[in-house]
Amino acid sequence: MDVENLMTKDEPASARPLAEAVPVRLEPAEFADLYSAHCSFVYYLALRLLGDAAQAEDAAHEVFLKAYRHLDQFRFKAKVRTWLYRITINHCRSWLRKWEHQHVLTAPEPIALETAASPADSPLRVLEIKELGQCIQKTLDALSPEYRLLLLLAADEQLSYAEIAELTGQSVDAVRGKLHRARRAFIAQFRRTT
Amino acid sequence: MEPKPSRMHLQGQSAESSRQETELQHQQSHSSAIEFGTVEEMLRYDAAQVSPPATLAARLRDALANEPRRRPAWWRRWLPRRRKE
Repeated sequence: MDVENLMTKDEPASARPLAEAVPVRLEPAEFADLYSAHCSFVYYLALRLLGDAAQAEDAAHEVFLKAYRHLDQFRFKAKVRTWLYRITINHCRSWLRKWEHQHVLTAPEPIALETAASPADSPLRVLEIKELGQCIQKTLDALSPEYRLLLLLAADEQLSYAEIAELTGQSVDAVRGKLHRARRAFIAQFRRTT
Repeated sequence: MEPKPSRMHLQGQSAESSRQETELQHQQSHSSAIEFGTVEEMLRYDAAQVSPPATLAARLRDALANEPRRRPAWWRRWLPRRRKE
């Protein structure tokens, strides 16, 4: 992983909440606090990107290990959450590339999903809560990787559209437009899945 | 940070039968309906149901115990340590 690249493209320090600041050097107890604050978010992102609990655990483990090893290179220009997400995204992309290299996959059809007739403005109603996770996973798996990532990042209320744009390497306007299409695609696919 | 939509409607379906309380609880837990106003709400709800496995923290603790003691860069030793505010 290009660790330098992880830490150079984020927002100005002035936009960073002070509570998110990371000291130059963390003691084990302080790193434990960082882990506690962000672990569930990192794990959930990895879980839904990879679609496998065991792989998500491995991914989260690697993410925090890398974060620990490279904390001294963290330049205080990003929120910790954003930084950890960037490592997670890179790790998951790398893992998926390797996996796809070894397996033949059929590509999803996001355009068909976007234009599918569905009442996109109506609420999503779920009856079987216990199967919600599986339905969400199936739905996300059917979307393009870009839509999947955008929706998962947008679901984190701590991330602004600007930060999502940073993480995905595009403009805020592009994020807005794609998120709109991603939501429609998700809803159309979700109705098929449930 | 721009505000993102956040609205959740919870609708509980009342049990029609007067069965035992345990059966009622079971039915409610499996057939209660939840409405989500946005996809993001649904994902946030889903995320709240997912917990990282307990083994993850233990694995990480073991891995960090084997990490070499990190020393700050030479120039950082001359700088005052930043504090959380």
